[in-house]
Parts: sequence; structure tokens; C-alpha cells
Amino acid sequence: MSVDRAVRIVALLLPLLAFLSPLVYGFGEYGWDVHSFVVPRYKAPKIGVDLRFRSLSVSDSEFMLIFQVNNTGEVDLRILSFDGVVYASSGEEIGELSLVHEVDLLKASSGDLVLDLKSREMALAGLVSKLISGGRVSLSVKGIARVEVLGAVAEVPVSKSFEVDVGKSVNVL
Amino acid sequence: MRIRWFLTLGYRLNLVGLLAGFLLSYVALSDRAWWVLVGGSLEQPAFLAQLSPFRVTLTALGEPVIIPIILYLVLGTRLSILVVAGMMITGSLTAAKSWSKHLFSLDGFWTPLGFLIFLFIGSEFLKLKLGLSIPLAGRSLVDYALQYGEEKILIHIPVAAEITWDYWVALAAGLLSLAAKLLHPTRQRA
Repeated sequence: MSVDRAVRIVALLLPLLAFLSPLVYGFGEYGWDVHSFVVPRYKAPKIGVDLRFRSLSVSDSEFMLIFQVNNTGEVDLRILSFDGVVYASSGEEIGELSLVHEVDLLKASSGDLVLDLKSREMALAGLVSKLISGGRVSLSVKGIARVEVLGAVAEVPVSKSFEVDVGKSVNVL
Repeated sequence: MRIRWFLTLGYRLNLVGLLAGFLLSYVALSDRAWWVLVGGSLEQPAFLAQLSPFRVTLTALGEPVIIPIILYLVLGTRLSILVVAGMMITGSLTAAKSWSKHLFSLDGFWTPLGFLIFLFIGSEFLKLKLGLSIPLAGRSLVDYALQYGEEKILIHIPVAAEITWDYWVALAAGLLSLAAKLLHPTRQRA
């Protein structure tokens, strides 16, 4: 074989060998199991929020629903907005909710989610009279929260039922 | 002919090949990404992709995504290009030998072009399969709907993509490889 031909063959084979050798070695390292060699490995951090009703604040002109939000996940969150509706247990719409200020939630921390309740006069009068007469009222909130996670914004549907106890959770300001 | 004679020092040393070989070695040994995609905030991105044929880094929500075959693929590409660069340097130093022309491979030229084609096909695949419009360069807002139980969560992610300077250096090395092969003496001189 001439030197010319030998060099040509070596020049063709050497880069190919250099490319394939790590692949073959790696495949062997994974026990020649295609699945474990090819499938991505990823452990997604937990993202979670626990929402608990705290109080209904009543002042001359406005009603505020206050929830305690606990970040139960492993990444920092920021609640940018909340748009929702409060319903009575009968299904009657009591009013619309909007977030008063953004809530920063570092991982494993908690904060207050303060929601401004824009209520209809009649519905609100009904709620107040129920609270006065019965002491407890069951309500539910449904809405969309805009939550920022590492710069990405997610629109998350929120649904929460809770009970307002006039003796414990109503603050008249 | 005069240019070829000049750039090969009288058909004894391929200067362009030597330069291409060393530049290719630098490119293959570099850990810097050729293409970067950042989703979310720049300081702490929701996802990050830093890609080159020699290094692939993927993170989502701060956690790494590891694909074992990719680790060995990029190692293989790195070794292969280093071999190509070594052969090119050897071929340039032995320009007077007739067999030296076989040591000039165009892998260094095809790699950056193939990388760009791979990016284009990858972005089209994401658009078709997941409905994600990822730009090859520039900024955009990617919307994605995630089914969570019976609810649907809408996610809006600002993304920024960039072809880095290192890609252009690699392309320059590839073009020099092509020039070196074209300039290499073809006459029998052994």
C-alpha cells in the first residue's frame, strides 16, 4: 500500500474513530441500555402555594378579603395580580376582587394577599345581614392569578372556599 | 498561482492551513456557547440553553436537564475536530509531501453550517410539535398552555436568543479550513 493511500485511509478513519469512541464508551457506561442513555434526566423543583383565608376587613367605603399565602415550593414567586369573583354558598355573585398590591414570596415564606372587594350594594347588604344574624357565612372565590416565576408569567386559575366567622375573622375598621 | 506560492512559502508550508488548524483547535477546546437562549429573567432565567457542538447546557427552573447521550456526542465532536485540526496542522507543515493534501478535512467548515441548520430544524420542530415560537436571534414572547388537571395554565415567557461571537469565530475557522484546502499544493512533490 502506498503512503498516499495509507494517509488517505487514516485521515478518513481517525476523525470518525474520535467521534464514535466516546459514544460507544458512554453507551457501555449505561449498560447498553438505549432508554437510560437517551432519555433526559430532570428533577423539576416543586412549585406550590397554600392559600388560607384570614379575615374580612370592613371599613366605611370598602371591603377587603385577606388571605395568607404560603410558598410551599422550591422557587421564589411573585403574585402580580388577581382578578376574580366572590360567590355566596347559594351561588349568588357577591362582588369582584382585585389585588391591592403585588406579593413577593421567597421559597418557604408567606405573605398577605389583600384583595379589594368591589361589591354590588344588594349582595353586600345580604352578606352583612347574614353575618349579623348567623355569625358565619360560607363563601368561595374563583379567579385568575398572574404569578411570576423566574421571569415567566403564568395565569393560574384559583378556586377557594372558606368560611367567614363574624366573631373571628371580621375586622371592622 | 503567485498567491498560492506566497501563502505556502513556495509550496513548503501552508500558512492558511496552519492558521485554520490552530483556530480550529481553539474553537474545539473552547467551552463557550455558540447560541444562547434565555427564557424569563436574565439574572435567574426560567430556562436557559447554551449550545455549541462541544458543549450543551440546559436548565429549567434553575435545575439542570441532563441527556446522557449528548454528553458523549459533544465529547465525540470535540475530539473529532481536534483530530481534524491536528491533521490540518500536520498537513500544513508537510505541504511539500504529496500525501499531505489528504490531511485537509472540511469537517471544520461543515460543523458551523450544520449547527445553524440544526438550530433551524430544532426551532421548526418546537413550533410544529409544541407550538413554541423560539427565535434564532432576537427577542420574543413565547406563550404556552399547560394542562394541569382539569385546569389550563397559560404561561407567557419573554425569550432572548443570540448567536454569539464564538459562532462567528468557528465559522471563520471553517472558512479558513476551506481556503487552506483550496490553496494546498496539488502537485506531486514527495
